[in-house]
Amino acid sequence: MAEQIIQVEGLQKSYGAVQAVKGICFSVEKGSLFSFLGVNGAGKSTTINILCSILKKDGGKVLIGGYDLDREAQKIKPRLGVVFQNTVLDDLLSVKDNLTVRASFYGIKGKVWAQRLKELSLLLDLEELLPCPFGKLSGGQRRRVDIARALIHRPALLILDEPTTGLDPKTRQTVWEIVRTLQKEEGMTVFLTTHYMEEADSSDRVVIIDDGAIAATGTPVQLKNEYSRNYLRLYGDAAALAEEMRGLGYGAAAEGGACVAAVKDAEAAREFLIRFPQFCRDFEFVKGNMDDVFLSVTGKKLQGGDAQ
Amino acid sequence: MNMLLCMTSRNLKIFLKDKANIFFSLLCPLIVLALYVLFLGKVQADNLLASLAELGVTGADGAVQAFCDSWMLAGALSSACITVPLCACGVMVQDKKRGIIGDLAASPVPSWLAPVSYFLSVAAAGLVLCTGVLLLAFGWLAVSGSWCLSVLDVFATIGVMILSVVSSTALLVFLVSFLKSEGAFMGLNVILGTVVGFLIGAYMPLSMFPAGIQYFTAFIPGSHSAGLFRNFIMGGALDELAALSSPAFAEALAEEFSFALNFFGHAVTPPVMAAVVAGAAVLFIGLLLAVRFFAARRVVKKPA
Repeated sequence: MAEQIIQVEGLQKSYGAVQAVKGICFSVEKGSLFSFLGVNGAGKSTTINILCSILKKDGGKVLIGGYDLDREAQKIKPRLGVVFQNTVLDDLLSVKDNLTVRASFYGIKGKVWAQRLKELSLLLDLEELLPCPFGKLSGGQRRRVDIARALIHRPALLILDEPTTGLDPKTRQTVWEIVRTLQKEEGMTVFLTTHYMEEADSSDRVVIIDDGAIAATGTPVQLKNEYSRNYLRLYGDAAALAEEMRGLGYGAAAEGGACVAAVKDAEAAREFLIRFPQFCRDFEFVKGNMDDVFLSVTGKKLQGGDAQ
Repeated sequence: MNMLLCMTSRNLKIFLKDKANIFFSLLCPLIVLALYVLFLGKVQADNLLASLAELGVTGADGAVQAFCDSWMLAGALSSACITVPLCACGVMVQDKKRGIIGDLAASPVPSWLAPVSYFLSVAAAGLVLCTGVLLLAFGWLAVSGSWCLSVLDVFATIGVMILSVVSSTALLVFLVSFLKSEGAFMGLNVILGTVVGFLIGAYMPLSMFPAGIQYFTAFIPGSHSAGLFRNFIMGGALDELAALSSPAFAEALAEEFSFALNFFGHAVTPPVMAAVVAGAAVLFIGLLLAVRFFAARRVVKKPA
């Protein structure tokens, strides 16, 4: 079994009478891209804030990089880079000043810092932004600086709390590419929360959290196989087709000019096509996507999940 | 150490780059100045001249002018020593609101970094701006020919300024550390900014208030630092008036302009005032440390 960089067992957190996180367990493999998927208020940010030592947990055990969060938080922090949901940099200061102050938190200064700043500028294309006040930057530029702030000390684990929320599609793609590059080329472990399906879909592993509890976990393919349904769409006289199929004992319905029948998997679909070629003059095999997975796991629709 | 320096200069830069905030931090001294230029100065000077005329003293216009000018400047300076640190505390509330405290918690920095850097930056902001006000005040006195200060007075005034800024910084950083919302901070800012000019006797002499209020003001460290400023800035002008009239007249004048504070009938003299201001500084720095100590203990106890 590969090395686990985060191990969480029975994590609990309540705000007054509201239980935000209800004893969740999960682990993150070193070097992987891990997605935490859930609607707003599901407990994603609470979990992240606990991992970052911002909130105190009520119960459970957290190991990061082999260190216990209760006793060895000071050893965990230098290995952790965080991109918060809302920016935590100062609007009035220049990008360079902002980053320099944060570099001092990790004891990075002087020539070493000048060198690191150069690397970060190159990686995130910040050269021209350095002298600008942070508050004057656009949303996408801010996000790049936020990521630079998280990467100052070359963390082994990068945590991003909804890094692409509120960005335009092009910037979202840029941010996503940066994250992917970091994970693939620098071998960094990336832990992110999102409510965008296509982002979860391109992760190595997904945990779906719903109302403070883990609803499903697995690779995107596993989840799709387990939770989403595949469809065969048959075109022609939809109503008649559906009628005939129901007569043969198949569940089918006419929907939007096609007869839609649920099939278990590709094999079942192929069998059906061979057995009943008379129904399949024109057809389409539709595989379930992460949206279906999420819907069938939680019974909830994600906001923004359909934004393309 | 580099961490503390960077964080302190970051706090200070945020304050100094916000021009509107600087203006509001100096609003109270500006009001003192405006009141004086518009009418208070003339009323005071006329009253004094009338009293002197009754005693048969004439030709004291210069000394009277110097006395009134230095009274106003002492008030402006002592209110600046409170309102500038108060506005500089804004960054503390802002950091809570923006989640910068969370970022600090997630970074490998000691827990004392934030409070110590706030204290240092607020004190530094106070010293920078109050030094500016002090230079303007000295410039005013020199240009208008009202300069009556000895070298000793000048150094004593600078010392009082440093002590006052440190003392009010300790008090305000302690108070503001309990505020969580910007609304609450704005409220404190507006109330303190308005009331402080009256409480420390910058808008009008404390002796014009009823005895109860005078006793109350003696509980505010700022009143004591204002008293010290008056003693050192107005002392020379008072001596000149004493020489022109009589020691008894000067004594009455010193009482009217609160050279000593009235604490339940006891006169609080400058050495006691200095002790009160310094004591307040020590007290509130101690409280700041105590609160942090207890907060740290609570956190350690919890995950039992």
